[in-house]
Amino acid sequence: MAHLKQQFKDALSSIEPGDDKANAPEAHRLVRDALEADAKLAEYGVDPVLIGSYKRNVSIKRVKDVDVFVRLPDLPSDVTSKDILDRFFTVLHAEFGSDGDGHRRTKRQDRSLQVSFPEYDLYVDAVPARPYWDGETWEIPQKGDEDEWVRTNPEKLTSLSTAMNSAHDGYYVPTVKLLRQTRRSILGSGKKPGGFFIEVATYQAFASGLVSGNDHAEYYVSALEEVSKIINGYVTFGLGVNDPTLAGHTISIRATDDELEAAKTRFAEAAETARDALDEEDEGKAALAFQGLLGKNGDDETVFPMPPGFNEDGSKRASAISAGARTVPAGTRTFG
Amino acid sequence: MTRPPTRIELRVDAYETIAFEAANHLPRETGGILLGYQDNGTIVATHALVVEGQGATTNRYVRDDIRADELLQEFLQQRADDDPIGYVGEWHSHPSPSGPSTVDHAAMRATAKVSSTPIALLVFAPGATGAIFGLIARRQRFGKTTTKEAVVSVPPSRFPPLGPLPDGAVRGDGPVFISYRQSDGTAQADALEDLLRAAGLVVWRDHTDLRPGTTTDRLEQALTRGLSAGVLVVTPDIAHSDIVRERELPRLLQLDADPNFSLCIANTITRAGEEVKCDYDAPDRLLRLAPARTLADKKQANMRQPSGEVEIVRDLLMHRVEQRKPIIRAEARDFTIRVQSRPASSALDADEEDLHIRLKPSEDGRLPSRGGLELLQKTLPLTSDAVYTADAKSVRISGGAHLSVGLGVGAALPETKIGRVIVVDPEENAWTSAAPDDDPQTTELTIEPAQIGQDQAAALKHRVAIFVTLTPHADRTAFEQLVNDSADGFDAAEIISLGSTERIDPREAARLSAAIAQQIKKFSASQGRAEVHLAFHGPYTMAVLIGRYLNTLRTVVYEWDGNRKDEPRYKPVLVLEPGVTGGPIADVLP
Repeated sequence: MAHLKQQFKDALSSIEPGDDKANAPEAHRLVRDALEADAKLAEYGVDPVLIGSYKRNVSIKRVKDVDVFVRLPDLPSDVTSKDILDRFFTVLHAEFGSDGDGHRRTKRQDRSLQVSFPEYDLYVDAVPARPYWDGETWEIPQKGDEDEWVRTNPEKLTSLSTAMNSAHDGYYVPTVKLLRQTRRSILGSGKKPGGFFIEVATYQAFASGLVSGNDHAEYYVSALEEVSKIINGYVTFGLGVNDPTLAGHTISIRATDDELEAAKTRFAEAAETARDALDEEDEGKAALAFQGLLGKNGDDETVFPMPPGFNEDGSKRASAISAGARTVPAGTRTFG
Repeated sequence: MTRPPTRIELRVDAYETIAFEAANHLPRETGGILLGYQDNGTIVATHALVVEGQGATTNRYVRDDIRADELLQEFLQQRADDDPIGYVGEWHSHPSPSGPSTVDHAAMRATAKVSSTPIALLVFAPGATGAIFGLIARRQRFGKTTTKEAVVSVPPSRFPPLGPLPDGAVRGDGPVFISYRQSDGTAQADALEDLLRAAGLVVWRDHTDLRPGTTTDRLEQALTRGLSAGVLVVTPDIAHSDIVRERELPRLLQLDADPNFSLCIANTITRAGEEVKCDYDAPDRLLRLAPARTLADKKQANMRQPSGEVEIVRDLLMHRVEQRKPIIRAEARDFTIRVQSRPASSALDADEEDLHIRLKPSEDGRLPSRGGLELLQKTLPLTSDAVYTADAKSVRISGGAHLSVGLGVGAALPETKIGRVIVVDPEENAWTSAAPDDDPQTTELTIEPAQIGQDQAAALKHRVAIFVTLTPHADRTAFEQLVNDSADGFDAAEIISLGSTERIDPREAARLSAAIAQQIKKFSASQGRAEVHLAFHGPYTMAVLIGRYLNTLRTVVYEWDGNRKDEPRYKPVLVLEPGVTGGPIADVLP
């Protein structure tokens, strides 16, 4: 059994967002300040909150998008989705203007406004939201031009995520990251289904009680198997993936049939490869398999390292390695 | 049983820590412990920890075992329980490049005596060579210990070695390259870029000019295909940029060996305990050139003070003019300046002009941006001096900008300092400050007083308002509003317009600009040298020419603000006072 504990830890730190971790909050703060400073939005009770994978700590290197959920509890019902998106555009464009190339930094999207931060190489998506009548959930624009809204509850996912992580001794969040990285590696970073779908499928897999383990390797393999089954169910039988934040709702996926077919096949293969690697006695062979599944990070570095004593091709070196000492030999030393 | 180790292999993490810490503790020694494992005759050092020693000197370092063990335990807590990485040896620096001393040998024998496995020692000499010496100490039978020299291997650089500079790498009319670390140097690099552009220089910056492709290849092209100057922005995090250390800096130093290249160092590192002074030794330390004083011996600008930026701009402007002067003289041509306050640009639109003044565009496109005018306030005196130094017979200005910018540029090139100014309009007509022989003399000026609705008995305000309108059918209501709505009031107001309804012929520019300026001065003088509030409506070319004569006045310049659809008005944007130090722009108004 190859559990490669340190190598999984190293893999997780290799996909941890680096500088983005410092830049994302700054970009978020700038957008938040601009929205809060607007008198009209203040009248609507503007109250932005960070959501998305970044907030849930499941983002992986490189973070490109930071999502800001802009709650407007006092938004009058006659303000249409177009009106509010227009207002957001006016406020954000006035604040952020154009970049060095003369391109507008604020871009309209169907449900949100995207502000680019070229100096940090990241984007902030500001999503306006009005309260749903139940007083607990929210509505966001579905398509900006028509006054059509869709129900959502993104903050709930943040708290569910935290709870699931505690219930699994802190293994849930790292497992989501490893699965998102696997998706990126086996499907490609721009392909659908995206990282959010994998996260929600992983949540459903954990919630079903079928994912378990004692370390990163066991959790990773177990979750990959369950997520592969969920993808298969969706693609083959049309079984929706539950939105854990809205009872009775499923999440929508923007992917072509070819993309879904590819996701089904590759995840099934990945799950099998991962199971075999975990059962493998030869650590080098196992590491090579995990290396293949996790690919490279946003800086083009291999995510999963070879354990000490093995060559890069996974073959074992002739001699045994001996570990470094667990304590420093006693005595102060003077060097000249 | 593994065979006794004879080699020490340093991995990236360990090497980076040692090289960085050794350079940053100069001139003193520093050191710590090596972590890793033993593999077939090799001690592999994957990590290095620094153990700050009490009283380290230039030739002594004391490693405390209690502190070292605390740091090791903290490290091990983060590792998996099956991880073989643990204590494998010691490291310290030698500021002068020498191998292990007899004291070092003795210390290692003492360590090996109480250790069950062979122990590595690394001695690192910071500096350009970065020499590394290795030693392995082990316990023999009967309590005897030995030390033996070991081969040390370091991680390969991720960059291929740099070759010599190709021909044409230094080009007098090439852009200025800004080298900096993104994480903490972006703001400083941005500020310098804006200022250099406002001064008329062309700048190469990664975020606008780095085209898709392998970053290092593109960077290499930028560094070798014709630069005139470079600015190295030194911030604390630059120590962690291998791109700057291994690519940009070596190239910039090679370029700087050419007398036609100018390298400026923008130093932002504070000297310990002195907020506004900078640490001139820091750049060499952070970029691992120390103990050599490669950068300390070059001119450095102190970015802890506002004058630092200005100093760099002045140096680079003067360098630019020095490069252009022989060409201008040889071709017996005008000194050329292009001015733009509207579109943004990159190094690619570098053109034939001697200077290309570019200001950040305003958000609304109508009024000049306040930030842009503030930059101009800083750079115009420098640009003015640079043009004067060029010793050209005349200056030719092209492009297009806001009228307030035109007046400012004109004021920076006063008739007292620059013999002749030619302003070229978009149709390529030349509007010249020297009267031509063929002035058609068709246009005369009309001067009329404007009504002042305020209480005439009020105290003198020493302010007059003047509307210069050089296009037919000007809208006078906005000027009337300017006069009547002003909270501070005016002593008198006057309108200077064209007698005929025809447009000005460019050949009339010299005569008319001199006459208009004369009238403005006369009007100010008639009210006790009052401050002039000038609303100008006419060609940009005339704004530049009139600006040249305003040197004895204090003039508040207004721009037409058409942003308010219902209520267009004149808005004061800057104050011109060419005669004072730091002029011609004395103030930029909110």
